[in-house]
Amino acid sequence: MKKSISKIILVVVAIAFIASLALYGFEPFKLTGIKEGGIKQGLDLVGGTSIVYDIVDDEKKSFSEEEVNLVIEMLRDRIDRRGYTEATVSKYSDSQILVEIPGIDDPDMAAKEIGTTAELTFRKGGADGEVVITGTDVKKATAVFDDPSGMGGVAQWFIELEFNNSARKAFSEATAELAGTGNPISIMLDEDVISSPIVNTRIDSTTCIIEGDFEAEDAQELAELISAGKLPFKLDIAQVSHVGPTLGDRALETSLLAAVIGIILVMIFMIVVYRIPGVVASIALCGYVALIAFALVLFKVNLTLPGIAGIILTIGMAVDANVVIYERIKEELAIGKTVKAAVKSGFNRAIIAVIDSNVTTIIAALVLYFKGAGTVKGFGVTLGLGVVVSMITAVFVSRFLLKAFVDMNISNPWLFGVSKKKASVEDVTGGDR
Amino acid sequence: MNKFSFTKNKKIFFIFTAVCIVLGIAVCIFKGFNWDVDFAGGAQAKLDIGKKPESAEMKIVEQIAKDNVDKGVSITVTPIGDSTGDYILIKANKMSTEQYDKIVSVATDKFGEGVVGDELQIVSPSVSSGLRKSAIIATVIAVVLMLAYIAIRFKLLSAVAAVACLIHDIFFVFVAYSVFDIPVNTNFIAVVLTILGYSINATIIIFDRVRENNKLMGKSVDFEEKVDRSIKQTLLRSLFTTITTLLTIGMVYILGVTSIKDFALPLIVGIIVGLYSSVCLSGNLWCVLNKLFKKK
Repeated sequence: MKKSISKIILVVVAIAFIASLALYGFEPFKLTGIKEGGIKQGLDLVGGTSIVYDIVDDEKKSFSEEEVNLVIEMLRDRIDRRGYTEATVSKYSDSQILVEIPGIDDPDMAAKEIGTTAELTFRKGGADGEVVITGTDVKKATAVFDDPSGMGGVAQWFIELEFNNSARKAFSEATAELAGTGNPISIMLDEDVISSPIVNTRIDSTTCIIEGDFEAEDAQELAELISAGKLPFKLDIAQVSHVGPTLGDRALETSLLAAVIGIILVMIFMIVVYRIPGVVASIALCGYVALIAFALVLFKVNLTLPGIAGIILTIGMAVDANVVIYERIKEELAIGKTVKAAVKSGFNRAIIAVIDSNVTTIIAALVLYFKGAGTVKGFGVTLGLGVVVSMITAVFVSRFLLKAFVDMNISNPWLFGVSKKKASVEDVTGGDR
Repeated sequence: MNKFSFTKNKKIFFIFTAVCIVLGIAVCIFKGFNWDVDFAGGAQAKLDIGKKPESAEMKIVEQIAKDNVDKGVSITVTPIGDSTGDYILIKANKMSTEQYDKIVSVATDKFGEGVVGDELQIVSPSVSSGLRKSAIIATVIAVVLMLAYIAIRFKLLSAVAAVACLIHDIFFVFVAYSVFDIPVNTNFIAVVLTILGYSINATIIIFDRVRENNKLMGKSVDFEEKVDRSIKQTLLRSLFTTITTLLTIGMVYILGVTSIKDFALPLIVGIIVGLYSSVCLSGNLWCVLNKLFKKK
């Protein structure tokens, strides 16, 4: 009895702990809680900037899936480096990419910076000189704050590049040719000259620095752009717009309220129908909500309306697993088994059905995540998370709890949802109702 | 309920379903769909009301727009802004220049002289064709993989029956969109996918029971009898699960704003249709397929 009660308390405390983690976050693990805005809301809920880029190439009009995906990955990388982790990058059409960033200040600037090709070139002489080295020959680029001459002068921001061997050779030959002529070597990013130093002597080194009156932020951004590499194609901005929340400002609020009331109704329903197992299901459902909130915060899921729908749907599924199991327990009780035996065999028999039905949903979620774009992908994420979490709570948590209740020596089948009549009339086939 | 046999009455279910499908097709053809501009193209224009639009103004503009376009046309209004200022973007799947001019003039009466209507633009749906294509591909792959999984875990014929029910459910979600005039937008994809994931569950629970009864009862009991038993044994579960899911999604429908209602309603229809198809159709289809392909 005592052991059972402490088991139940343990589960409740664990749920409360997870819920508080989800709500308030955990600083050492860089977990931002819901209270501090830890759940990222999608464009349809908070609004933001939406940018459509046309992929442009001189030679072709259409692009293969791999090519588009490569561009998407590189853009994703750039956007993440800029800290817009809540942004989404997706394929819009065969030659267009959609970037959506919830809530930023200067959409036009962001559109330009994100979409730049970022091709680094070293040219002999001026901006139209012969190309000596391109960005692909650069192994690494870092922003450094130091004295570039290395002789104890004034510290400033500059970029340090690390060349591969062929670049080292090309650079050495070019500097030898230019040395003493008074001609510069121009370092360019796309169309812009970043720096064009005059070459005094031949330089034979695997490292090279770019100076140019950089602010800390500029230097870091430039280094990151170069490191991330150039895009294989040019991106033209087709459309930039700042969009308000398309769903209206009360969409999230009302959905959450609805979810809370819905969950409470479900709990009442379960307790009325199943009694003790209903209480267990209600605790497990709280556990589900806490875990899913925690998962949303942990994986920084971008929550959109379809995503919310996915979660509400999985609430239904989380309860479903319980219903399947409890109905089975009722049947086992009806054929005259003891409560303990009925709970055991009920779980074992129902678990196969629960697993089979959830696996099909997981298959769907995985396909939607890997094959879908935009909202479809987001839906896949929450659906998949929801199903996995609901399996955990509905199967493991509720089995653990139910066993604890059973160990308290409750032997009245009525408390397990069997109606009074049924509790006395045994139906050997366990079937007809 | 004890006397009623689901499998013996399968003719009634099949005829009822066939009639519903014919009616559904008729509705889809004659009433058509309320295609959202994102999905099918249409017209859009920026309206400058002389200040930053708040939700109160958005509502007024939405109403003005609704009053002045053809009946049944779907309208969305979104606050947008770019380097030149803040606007309300009015999108409609059908809107003529005259109608738009009327909207601008009514809005001018309402908000004063500051209202400026930008030129009406015809927008093509091409922008969303990529998303649509990827959604269709994803759905087809998902269905095929689910079919494969069920075929492995159960039998190929049961997988065919399960997927047929799935298609049935999704069809009636389409019909719901037509009947209730719900705008078909990108959320439509999410609705279809939700039903896809949900409705297969109920069928699997029943088939799992058939599988178990098949082993338990042996060859002496007729397959139809086993299916009937299985449906009855899982009937309460089917009903209760539908009720609990409807409790949550129903609250969303009751409390939600318009866009959320448009989302919740077809889901509710899909869930109810899913209950019908899994209880009344899936098992019966399996029986019929069994008879057709396993003549002994």
